[in-house]
Amino acid sequence: MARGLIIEPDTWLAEVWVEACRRAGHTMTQVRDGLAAIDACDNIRPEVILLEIILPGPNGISLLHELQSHADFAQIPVIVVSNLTTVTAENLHQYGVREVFCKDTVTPLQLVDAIDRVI
Amino acid sequence: MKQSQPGDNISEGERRNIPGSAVVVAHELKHPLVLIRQLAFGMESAEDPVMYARKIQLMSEQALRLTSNIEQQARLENSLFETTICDAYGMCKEMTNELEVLFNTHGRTLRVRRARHMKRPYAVVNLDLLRRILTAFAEQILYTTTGDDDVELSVERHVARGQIRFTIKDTGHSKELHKMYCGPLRMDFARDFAQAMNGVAGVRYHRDSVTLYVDVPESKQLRLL
Repeated sequence: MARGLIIEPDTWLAEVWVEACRRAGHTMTQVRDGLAAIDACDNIRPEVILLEIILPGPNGISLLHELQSHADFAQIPVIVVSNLTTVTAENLHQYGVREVFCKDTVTPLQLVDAIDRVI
Repeated sequence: MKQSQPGDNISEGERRNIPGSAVVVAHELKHPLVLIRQLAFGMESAEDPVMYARKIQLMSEQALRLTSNIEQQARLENSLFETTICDAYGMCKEMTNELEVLFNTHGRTLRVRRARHMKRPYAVVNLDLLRRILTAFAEQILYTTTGDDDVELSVERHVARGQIRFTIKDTGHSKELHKMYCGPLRMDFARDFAQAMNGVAGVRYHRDSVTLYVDVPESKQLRLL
């Protein structure tokens, strides 16, 4: 049962995923941007992160850089769920990204399964 | 060194005969469709399916408004629009009533701010087009604001210019969020619809907020009353 962080600007979308994770026994916190995500990482110490790359302010890639610069955050597995079709798990692997999903096709259950795989 | 060739500067979409506007429309429609799909998944196992149904309904309406606005925009050039004299505050009040469910579902409140010491302003507008502009602005504010403050719809009277300005403003506005969610399409609609009424629509960035506005002609006949 994991403690996680969902970084997604659309609140309703994040709420669907929070609920799906809750049913699977995971406790997720949702934030809308990268700056709030850093604060949330400090506060809740997530074991897994669900991340949208297109964020207000610093984008998801900047956030991944930032997380890598903190020894205690660098090991957190990240699952990218994005509309940006150019990102792959291979080219973001160095930032701790384990899996990448496209929002058009992903289901909440697939995200829960992915969390179970990476924690 | 690679020699530049004719056609080097055209996009991949243009090369495949896909107009840029179609790509923009596809991008704008993607957001509500993705959300509707995810909400439908959520609804299957929800303890409160009514809330999910309401969100799906609101997002579907938003997507339909988008397509309806595209159709309307395409017809603007060869149409004449009936204009009518409208009570600006009355219009704002109507808009807040219509959008109440949408705002409440987002946990927000839209309210009319009345300026003190101002005579009841009347504008010459096409009611359908003005309604489309204000609805697009309100939707935009919803998706680009982060604060919990009330969103304000207000009316100003510019006597020298003979115009009435409708504004919608939120103090919890994030400029980055605005730029992210404010695809060019909604502002395009607003500008074209405003122009069809001899008006102007625009956006003004402040340090901690963004104001969306539309200026329309003031009714000179009723102003004399």
